[in-house]
Amino acid sequence: MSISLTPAYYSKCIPQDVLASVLEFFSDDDPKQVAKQLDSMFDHIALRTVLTHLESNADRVAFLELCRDEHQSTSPLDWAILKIDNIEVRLQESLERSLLALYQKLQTSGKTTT
Amino acid sequence: MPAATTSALAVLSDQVAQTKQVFAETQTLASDWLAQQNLIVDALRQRASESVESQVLRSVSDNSRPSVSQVTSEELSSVTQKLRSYALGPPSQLAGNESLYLEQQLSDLLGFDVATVLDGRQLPHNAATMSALPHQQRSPEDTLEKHRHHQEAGLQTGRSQFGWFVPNAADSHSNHSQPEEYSVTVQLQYLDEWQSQRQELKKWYRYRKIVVINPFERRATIAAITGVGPTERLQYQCAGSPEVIRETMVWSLASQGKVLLFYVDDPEDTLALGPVSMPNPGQLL
Repeated sequence: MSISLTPAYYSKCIPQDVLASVLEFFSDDDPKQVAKQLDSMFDHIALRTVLTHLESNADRVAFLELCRDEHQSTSPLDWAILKIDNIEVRLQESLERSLLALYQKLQTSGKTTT
Repeated sequence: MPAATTSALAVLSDQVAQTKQVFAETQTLASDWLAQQNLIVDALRQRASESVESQVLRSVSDNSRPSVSQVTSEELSSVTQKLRSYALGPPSQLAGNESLYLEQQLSDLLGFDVATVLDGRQLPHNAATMSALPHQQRSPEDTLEKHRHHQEAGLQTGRSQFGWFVPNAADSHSNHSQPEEYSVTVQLQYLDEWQSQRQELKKWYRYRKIVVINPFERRATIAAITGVGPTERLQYQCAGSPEVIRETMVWSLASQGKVLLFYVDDPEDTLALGPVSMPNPGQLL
């Protein structure tokens, strides 16, 4: 199954191999609905990851403003790279953890891959 | 009889709900800020997307040209190939039928009028290699910390050739609040009439809108001309602000600085500076 996720500042940190494994469970589902849910999950996880690692509330607000204005560009990530060590790796790990958790749930839910 | 299964989408929805709950419980500052803005996390991407789309929609609302969806994927591929071929060639000005063809095709694709000649003046180059500028000092009091993005690019101190940046200046060609963000310099100093008409030309070119196109990455950005240069010795024919370089992906391996430049014919000043949508073949018919 292939879906079209909306571009976001963290897009390059999404582990594509794990995502591909997860998407195998959604062969019967509407790709738009799946993409919408995944976009939402990734948005929350990426934002939480960055906010957690920022040191000041002023920086957190600055990052939120960047996301509000330029969520689809690389600007928020470029900015975060300057503020947080290894933020790209941290984002990749967070997104991967969420996908692996989803993968396990999908396996145990009784839904089989096609 | 096998146990009942839960649909994959239901499992995903459940995980999304849990993720949202964790976010709300752990990110109180963000939750409060979002509430003040009448936003939720899901709306952030929509809000950012709308701000880009609104620029495009605003630009097409007053003219009768076909919408982007009426351009076929085949046409787009053909135009893209032409643009790439032209960008890969030596620095040059477009002329003749090729100029007319690309003006028309690009105007249809981008949704606003682009031109190679405006008021009888042509840009020094339509195909050029762009170098990266640091931020430019907008006023004597301006510091690097006051620039919103890409502070790693540094700050070039001193007044630009066009003077200090004056948002909404009466004689500017842009109502953008900050022309420095999306700015370019072009080699006006090599125009034949530059020495004899420098003041007049400076006035005409100051904040003149152009669109920077990277056909290799299908990126385009409307920017304002804010200075003169670079010099010929540097083997670049234009230079872009950190925002232009980043948003247009001028840095990419595929592009290696090769861009195309066209005037934006926007006499009513309805177009904002910044990135504009350039469709992919998959988005078209």
